[in-house]
Amino acid sequence: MIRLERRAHAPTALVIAASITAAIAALVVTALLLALMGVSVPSLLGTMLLATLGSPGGIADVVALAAPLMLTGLATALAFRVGLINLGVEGQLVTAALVSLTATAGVLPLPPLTMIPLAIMAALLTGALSVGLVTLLKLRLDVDEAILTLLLNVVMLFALQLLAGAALSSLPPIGAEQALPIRNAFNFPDWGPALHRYVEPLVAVIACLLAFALMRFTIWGLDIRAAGGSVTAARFVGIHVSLVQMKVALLSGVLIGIAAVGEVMSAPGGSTSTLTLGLGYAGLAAAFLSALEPLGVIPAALGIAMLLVGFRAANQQIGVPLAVGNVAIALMMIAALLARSAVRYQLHLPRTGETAP
Amino acid sequence: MSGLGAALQVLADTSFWMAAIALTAPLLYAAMGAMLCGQAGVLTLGIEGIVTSGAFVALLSTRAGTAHWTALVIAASTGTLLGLASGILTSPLRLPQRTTGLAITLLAAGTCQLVYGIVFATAATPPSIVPFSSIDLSWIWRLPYMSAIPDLPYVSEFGRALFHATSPVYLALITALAIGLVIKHTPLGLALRACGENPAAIKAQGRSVHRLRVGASIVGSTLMAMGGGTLALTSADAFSFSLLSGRGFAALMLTMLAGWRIGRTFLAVLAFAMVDAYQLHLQHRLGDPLALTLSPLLPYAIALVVLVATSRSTMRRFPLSAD
Repeated sequence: MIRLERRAHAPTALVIAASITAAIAALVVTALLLALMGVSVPSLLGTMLLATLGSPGGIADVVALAAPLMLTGLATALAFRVGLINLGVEGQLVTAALVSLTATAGVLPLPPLTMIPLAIMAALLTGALSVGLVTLLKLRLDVDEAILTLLLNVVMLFALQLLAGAALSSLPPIGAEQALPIRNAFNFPDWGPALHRYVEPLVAVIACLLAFALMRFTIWGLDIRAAGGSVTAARFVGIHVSLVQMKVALLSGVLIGIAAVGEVMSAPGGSTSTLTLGLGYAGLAAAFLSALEPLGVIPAALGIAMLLVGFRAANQQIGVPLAVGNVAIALMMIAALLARSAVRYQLHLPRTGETAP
Repeated sequence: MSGLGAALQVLADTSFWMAAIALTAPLLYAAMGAMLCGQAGVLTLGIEGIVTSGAFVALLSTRAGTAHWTALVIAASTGTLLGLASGILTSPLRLPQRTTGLAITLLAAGTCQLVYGIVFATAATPPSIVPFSSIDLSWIWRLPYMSAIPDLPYVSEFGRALFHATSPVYLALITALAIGLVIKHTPLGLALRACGENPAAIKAQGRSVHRLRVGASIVGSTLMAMGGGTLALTSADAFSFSLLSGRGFAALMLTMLAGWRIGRTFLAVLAFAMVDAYQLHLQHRLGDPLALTLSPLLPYAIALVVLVATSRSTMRRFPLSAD
């Protein structure tokens, strides 16, 4: 008798194939939706390919956007691996960016040379604290961290929009640029944009590689995998699960902080920096597509960045609304979740001589 | 005038109460939907997207020329479809509720924004409609014996506003009452509650947990979309997505902090709407001063603090599924 049965372990090749299928399926559905609304899909595809892979500048744009996506994706994947459903990377990134700008806006009488280290320290610390605080509330007060972080996203986005005088939106288009309300003050040395464009991608890739090594080869990684797999079993073998969760939360917050620094430094000193909206939500999709594996986050983030840069070009050139990114990202999330649950099962085919159970 | 006096003055203003009641109705629909799902053990983070699509579909159908009530029904049926989809994904297909819900929210709201961008791309001004007109129930005051009720400060302003609202507002109150009765006093309500508290008991009875949960998701999402539709069709302002931003999540938050109980949910919704109306009123009166830039966050901030403070007791009484 043919039936579905649970797998003990899904082979890596199958997981990768499932993720790729999920991404393609999501894109096909998005294309169908757009065609239904009267958008010419071939010309859209042409515009998107030309804007991303058509020129060195386009490729650089993709890499520059992929960097924060790798960081937010990795932050999300690590948190999910240890059982922290952090849906609030968006809000945590906004918080870190705002604090980082405030810290360098001339509140402290410091020499200009210290501005960039100060901005970095402030963002990393804020990122770590904001994820750490939510985790503390989860551990001490039984707060549902998914709902709390999602609501904090709304509050932080509203705060940003109110301060910047923009219209309120709890779910702004992913990939849109929002001007930050505080002027960035890194007049000297003016390294911000260069750091954002060239150093951040490097940092992001190294972070993914280090996280892979951490999960694979260290005892701490084993603790993380155990705590994420079964809390009861992990406690039974003597792992302090709350402590492991807290450490991962702080680490994940630091990654979000790095992404925030990159956004803050995207503009030259003395001008207005912009923050790319939706990095948290797109990072969530990257984390699901990577099946929560640190190495998988790199290609997933590159793919999503390509898509978003392409949509941005399509918005400017043929007027397709930016919200198409939200639809594509949401479909990718659903498809990736379905793929993840599908690879856990296999078809059991009858062998000769076998009787039905 | 002292600060406190000025603050109290707002409460004596009928227009403040009218705003508070107008803000209550959509939230109440959405919160009732969330509560119905929550009772059955379904946590719907898709609520924000469902409320948004309800509002947007109501706007589209009204602009296409349908009557207000028809538009509301069409809006509600959008919620029915989304509830069916999210119910099937999370219950029989067993996808994690929280992440799937967030994806549904992104998908529904994103699709609305996409269609909005395409349909109204050439419009110079945001689309507006003629809203529901209010019903005058002030004859209730002239009924015999009504004059025996003393003219209390604040209360009579509230009464005047309450008897001068739009019909979806009254329907919201009736719906809330009906849902409360169904959940508390019918076998179906008992089954729903059991489904949330102890699904094994439902299985032991030979009933289907999936069927109850998908059903709750469908009815709940229909109510959420109804809330969105009400918001779009009772507001005098031109439609924009900032009109409903965060309302869906707010309704879910209020339901949670009320511990999924009907009476408390109603009070929480009313309090939230009052704080929101209050800060709007204050801003309007003082002419948008800089100090009040962040005041729209006030109701959310208060509700969040209450949510965190009460979560230990509500989670103990009504634990949510972990995924």
